[in-house]
Parts: sequence; structure tokens; C-alpha cells
Amino acid sequence: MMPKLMAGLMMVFAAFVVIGAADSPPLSSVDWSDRGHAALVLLITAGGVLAYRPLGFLIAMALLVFALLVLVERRNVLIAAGYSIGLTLFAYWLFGKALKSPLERGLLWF
Amino acid sequence: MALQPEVLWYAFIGCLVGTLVGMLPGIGPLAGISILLPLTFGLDATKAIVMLAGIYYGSQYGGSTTSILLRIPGEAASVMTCIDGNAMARKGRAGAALCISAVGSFVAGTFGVVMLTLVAPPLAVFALRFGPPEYTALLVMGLIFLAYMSTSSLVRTLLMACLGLLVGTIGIDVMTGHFRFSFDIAELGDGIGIVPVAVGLFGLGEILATPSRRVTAEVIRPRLRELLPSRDEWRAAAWPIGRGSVLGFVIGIIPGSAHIISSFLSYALERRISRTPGEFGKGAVAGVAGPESANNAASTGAFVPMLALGIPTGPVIAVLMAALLIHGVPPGPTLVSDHPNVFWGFIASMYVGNLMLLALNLPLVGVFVNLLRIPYAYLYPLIIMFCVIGVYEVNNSIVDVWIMLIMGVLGYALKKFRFDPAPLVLGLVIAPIFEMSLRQSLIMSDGAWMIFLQRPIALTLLAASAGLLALSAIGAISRRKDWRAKLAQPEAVEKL
Repeated sequence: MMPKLMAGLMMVFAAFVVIGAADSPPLSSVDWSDRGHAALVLLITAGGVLAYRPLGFLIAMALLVFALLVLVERRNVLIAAGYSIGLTLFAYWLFGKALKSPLERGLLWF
Repeated sequence: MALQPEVLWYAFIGCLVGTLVGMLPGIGPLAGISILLPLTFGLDATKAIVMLAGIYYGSQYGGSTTSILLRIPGEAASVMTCIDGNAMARKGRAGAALCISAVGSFVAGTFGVVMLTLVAPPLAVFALRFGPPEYTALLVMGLIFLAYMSTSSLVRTLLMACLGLLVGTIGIDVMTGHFRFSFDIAELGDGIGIVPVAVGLFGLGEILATPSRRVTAEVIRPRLRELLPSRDEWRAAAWPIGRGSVLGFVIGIIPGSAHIISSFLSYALERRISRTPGEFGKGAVAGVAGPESANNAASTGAFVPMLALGIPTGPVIAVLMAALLIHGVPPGPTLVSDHPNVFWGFIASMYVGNLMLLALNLPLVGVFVNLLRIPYAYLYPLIIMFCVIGVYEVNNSIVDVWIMLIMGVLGYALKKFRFDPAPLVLGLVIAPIFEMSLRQSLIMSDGAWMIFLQRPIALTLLAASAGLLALSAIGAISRRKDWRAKLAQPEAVEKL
């Protein structure tokens, strides 16, 4: 009952939004200039998530941050590598050691 | 007894852990309390409950820090703080936002404790009169009240709320045991969690819509006086803190995710009564002060039914009650008479705990603000990584992370088409309670919807909802008339 009730209400409200569409700015006024950035960030993050379990926390997260810095932000490779490794190790200490959250080991033994 | 050094020490540990737990997305007070519960077995009941309660209300303080600085809600109740808190931070007022949040939380927390002391018994008795029809009517009124208070379209707000309610139906139907919309994915059997949705909509969605070239590269070096709110900002925060405290405490007494709902309602109220509603979303002080005060007052109000009647108002309170039971102290009407040292020790520790949290958070404002000096190009990969880890750690489920990504895309799209994502989160939060109350009501009445009109409290609440809808419709019609009148003016001039 609940899904049907909510879906029905959504259709009613959506109809009202459509009826009131004339008062809204045109679709062409929406700024999509950031779509390339959004798509690339999303793709890289999805890749990191896919690699999370097979490769493990340390490798997958370090690669994720490195890819974002190099491919999206076009930063220096060495600086990006140092930053991503340092950040990942800090996160490993915080979540894995301090908070004792189980992190995926993946290919590594720790 | 609460002022004994040992008890104060445990209150401090609870507050510190609670603040840290609140700051980290994905690790909420429930996880923090559950993890530390076994450590309390060797303590007496007073110290145990003082420490565990410290984690609970401490997390309300901590959740605001990541909301303001990183636009990631550290705790579900801090979702509303993301909006104006982060906007204040981007305007260089991060320190002010953090201060106002800390002070507002302190004032509201103290107010809540005073009210808890004075009015716990009679208020708890009234809350007992709420049955399923009353809960249903209350939640309907809450949603309509929220939509009415929103200065954006009421229809769009209700549409988002219904989407949230629909998403909340994913998972096992608690009454029939059937899987709904799970697509044979076992993890979806538990439903869609609030953390992946909130982090995806507000955290990831914002990152997707913000290329680093749009963020100023200027490194802000705040001076000490810039860390504190100005006189105008304090003045702007005063009444929202007061209103948020009262609203939050009253809503906190009612079972459910009251501390989350209270922050939404407070935000909507402040936006509605503000003389400058256009400021909301762009760094309005009231948008931080009100919700932060409301969620702290609500988390204190939630103790009223627990202490006075032995009724848990949510999962966190339920674990706290379990802690009391483990220590041989049954919460309920006999708590005050049979274990006065526990009851009054707990109340007194909350006064002290609020002071401790203020002392902990205010000096650290400068430290937290320094996080913003990290260039955005290096900051957002850190945020994404924390989002992935935090969401994954909730249930050790990669499906939650995929949900976060999907919600990130949705958040990006909603931002583009100017839909407010906050009602979606609210709908998701109240979906289980709403559906359960609705179905229980219909079971009570053998399927007759008239039950909502036959019970006085439910009828009153629904009548108030209808009134709000009528007011909104009248407003919309009169605005349309104005628009047509304005359009007719050039035609009238032409005819002349």
C-alpha cells in the first residue's frame, strides 16, 4: 500500500510541477559547464569503489586519490603520489587502528 | 555525586568520544555507544550512563563540525547545518559558524536539561496518549509544516518528501516479511540507510557540481577576532537559538528520529519567519543556530520518556536503557524513587557535560578552521575518500557505497534543477515510523480511514495540516493573480 500511495502522490505533485512549468526558467538556462568534471570524478570514484574489495583499502584508496589529483586536477605526479600515500596511511591509522574499524585487506596481509 | 572527580572524568571521556564520533561520517552515536558499552561493565551504573550519554549528546556537537567545514553531515541530525553552515565557511565565517553552533548547542542542551528536570513527568504522560493514528497525523503535519515553511515551492518540497518516503519502503516489509524493491540484492533487504543517502546527496553531489577552478585559490588566514562571531551575528543567532531550543525539546519527547526531524523543522521555521529569507542557503546565521540548537534540545528531550516511563524513543536511547538494565537499574517510573543517585547523578552530569562540550569545542575552532586552508583540489579527494570509508563502515557493505554514488548523481541533478534534497532525507528518516503507524492505525480500524478523524488529537493535527495547505494554496493563487495583473498592465496601456 505504502509504495503505491507514495508513487501516486508523486505523480500528482509531478503533474503540478509540470503545470507550473511556465513560471520556471527555461531548461536552456541550466549551466552544464561542470558536467565533464562531474563525470570524470564519478568515473574515478566508481573505479575506486570497484577496486576496494579486490585490491584492499590501502591500494584502492591511494589509487583513487592519486587518480583524482592527476587526471582531474592535473597536479604534479610526485606531489600527488606523496599526498595520496600519506593521506591513505593517515586514514588507515585513524579508522583501522584508532577506531578499530575492519578495513578491507585485499592483496595485502594487513 | 556528579561533581565527584571520577564521574566528571567519565563524562569527559564520553563527551570527547562523542565529539569525535559525531565528526566522522558513517560512525554515529549508536556505533560509538555500542562499541563502548562492554567497557562499562566494570563501572557502577552512574558512571556508565554518564559516559554513554556523553557520547550521545557529544555527537550532536561533533556532527556540526564536518557539516560546516566539509559539507558532509557527520551525523544525520547535522544535515541542515550543511546548507548554511558550509555557506558561511565559504564566505570566510567558518569560525563564526562553529562558535555559534557550539554556543547554540550549549544553550539548547542546558535548556533541555533544565526542562528535563522540571517537566519530565507531565510531558511524558501526555506523550503516552499518542497512538498510531496520532503518530501518523503528527508526521503528516510535520511534512506539510516543513513544506509550508519552505520558501521554495510547496509542491516540489512535498514531491521530494514523497520520494524519500518511497525510497524508505525498499527492504523487508516488517509486517508481511516480503522483500520490496530489493532486486534480489541481499543488502537491500535491510533497506536504504540514511548515511549513504545523506552523504551522497550533500557531500558527493556538491563535489560533483564544484570544479576546483570555481573555488578561490586564496588561502584565508583568519585572525583571532575573525574566528568569533560579530555582534550582529550573535544578535542574529539569539532568537533562533531560543526558538530551536524550545522546538527541539518538545519534539524530542515524541518517539522517533526526533533530533533529526527537529533540525529540519527548525530550519524551515527560521526560513519562513526571517525578514531576509533569501539569505538562507547563502550563509544565514539563523540557518545554523536554529537547527543546531533544535537537535541538541531534542536529544535531551528524548531522555524524558526513557527516564520517566522506561520507553525508548529511538535505537540510541534503547542501547542506553540496555546499559541501565545491565547495571541492575530498570528505567521507568520507579527510577527516581528507587535509584535517586543514578537519576540525579545523570541529570547533574548533563549540566556538566554541556559545559565540557563548550570548553572542548570552542578552543578547537581555530584548529578546525585550518582545515579550510587546504587547497580545494587536495581537499575534495580527502572528502571523497572519507565518504567512501565512512559509508562502507556503517554495514561493511559495498552496496551502500554504490547507493552513495547514485545519490551523488541525484544530488547533482537536483541542484541543477533547483530541487531541495533535504526533504528527501527527511522522508527517508520517517518512512519506517510513518508506514508502521499508518498500517497499525488501519489495522485498529479494520481498514477504515475515518479513524484519523475520530480521534481528537489526530483530528486536530490533520486539521492544522489542511489549514496550512489552504493557506499555501491561497498564497499561490494570489501570486498568480498578481502575475496576471502585471501582465495585463502593458496590454491596458497599449489599448489606451
